[in-house]
Amino acid sequence: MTVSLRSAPSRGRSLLRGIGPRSFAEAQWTAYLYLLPALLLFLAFVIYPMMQGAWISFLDWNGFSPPTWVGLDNYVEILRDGNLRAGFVRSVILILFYSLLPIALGLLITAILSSRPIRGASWFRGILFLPQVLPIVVVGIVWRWMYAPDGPINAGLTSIGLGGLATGWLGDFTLALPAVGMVGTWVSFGFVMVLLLTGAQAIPSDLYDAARVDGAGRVQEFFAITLPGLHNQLVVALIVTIITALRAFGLIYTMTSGGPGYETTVPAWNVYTTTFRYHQVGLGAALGITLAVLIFVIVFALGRLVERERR
Amino acid sequence: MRASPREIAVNYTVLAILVVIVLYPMLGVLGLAFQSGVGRTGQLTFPPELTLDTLSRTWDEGRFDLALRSSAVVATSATVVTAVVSILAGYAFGVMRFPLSSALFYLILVGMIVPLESYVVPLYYEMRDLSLLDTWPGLVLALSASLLPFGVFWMRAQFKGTPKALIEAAQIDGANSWSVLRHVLLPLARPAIASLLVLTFLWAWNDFLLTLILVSSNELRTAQLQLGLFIGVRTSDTRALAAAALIVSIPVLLVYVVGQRSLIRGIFEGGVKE
Repeated sequence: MTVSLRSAPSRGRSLLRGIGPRSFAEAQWTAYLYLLPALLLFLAFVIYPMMQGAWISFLDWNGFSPPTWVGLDNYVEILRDGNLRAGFVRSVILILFYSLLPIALGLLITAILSSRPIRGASWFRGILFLPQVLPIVVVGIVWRWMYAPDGPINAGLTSIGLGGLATGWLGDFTLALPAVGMVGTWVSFGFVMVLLLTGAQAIPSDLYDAARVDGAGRVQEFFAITLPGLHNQLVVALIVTIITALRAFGLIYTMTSGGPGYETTVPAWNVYTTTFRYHQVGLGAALGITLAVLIFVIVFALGRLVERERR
Repeated sequence: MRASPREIAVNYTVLAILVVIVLYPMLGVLGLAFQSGVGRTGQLTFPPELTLDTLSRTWDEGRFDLALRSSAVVATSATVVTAVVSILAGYAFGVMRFPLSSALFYLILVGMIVPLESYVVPLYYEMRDLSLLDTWPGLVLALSASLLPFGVFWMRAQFKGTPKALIEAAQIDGANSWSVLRHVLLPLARPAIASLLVLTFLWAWNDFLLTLILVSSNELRTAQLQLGLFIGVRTSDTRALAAAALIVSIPVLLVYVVGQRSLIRGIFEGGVKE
């Protein structure tokens, strides 16, 4: 999903715009008619259940019998339960793979590719973007095969004499999470790279010419011109990929089911199992709300970053 | 300044490596789908085997005819609903002045970042109370509600960018708000609407979590859900899984090939410009 970059500080003032007496007189009341269908749908099936979720998170409820009010107990439980807490730590590890690694690679490649137009650019773009459009369940199946004990990755390692490293990736207690993370890298990478390359091509080329006249090398050029010029693209890439990492569910469902042991149980997976397998609906709701708060905080912080740059 | 031959060689080598990394896993699964036989091993052969046995066996066993039908109905309906309500709301936000417009717009923007996980549990009980659990309309409404924030955001940006003079000229000619939308704004918004349709369709088609939670009956399962459950049933039948993955991907790939330009434009302009 894409995310707005227009953000915080201007918000305070613009929230009040349209409430003053003058605009009230010339207000177009028909606007509400046009808004109505979207607003109704959104309130009924996003905002209302979200409020409900906040409410349920204070209850002890199995989904059937009458609930009891337990205050913050569910949130305390998230902090106390080693595995639920670890789920959030695993999310941070996934962020490394879904977000930071693709961005680092994307920047490296943007720096390597000279800024001249590439012949067949739209073909490359179309191919690199493919993992992003593939259904996540399909991605899971593809990589189950890649990681299989007799799959291409182990075969590749063996053929270059590294057979000792071959292993059952998704069944390995230490390697399963990074293995899933690498699939996240595979999915995010094309998106990030196309975003960065498109941004780099929009940087005026006379900036580079000027730098060369001043005797700047490729490396200096990159840090002085390319990197600052990609500021907005980097923030968008961070927001989108971090949200994707925090919400990782489809890959876990199709590749590991949270295993081996609890090694790949991430928050989104815990919401699902806590609610629908263990019938601890209140705890599941609290996990979902915690995840939402985490995402809001991250997006808000990154939004502030953009605003500061613009001033 | 022209790129030196060495620079050009480096560029294409890097791109070629990336293309291999992206395509190899996909082409591998494509190859497996055309092999015959049951079992865990998934070795590619050269020259590749080309039989439709596994595909036809998987199509029947997995009831992918039903699953694809469900997905077609659900994704198309959700796309139409999302596009219509987004165009109407985007028109109000982009062109009209009314009390609370900014507050309402920011409320909808929240929907672009709020994770499904935070409300999917109560949504399940809400749908149960409305008797919409395990129905297509329930799934379509839930999908549309989750996708419309992007749609509203996107259409608002489009309508905001339309020259005011065009709208005012139509109003002077006596056009009411509906005919301004119908005859002035919509014709100009065609490319933007195309992007919205492609993106929404792909997101709706690829949804997994909502479907997993809201739908259970065999006949209503979408392709993603059927594929997800198929993994559990055919865990050790690598070729059948490959065939199933191929079947479920074909519609997405077709839409991607046809709508690639609109799609990529939508994603990158939507994200960076506003």
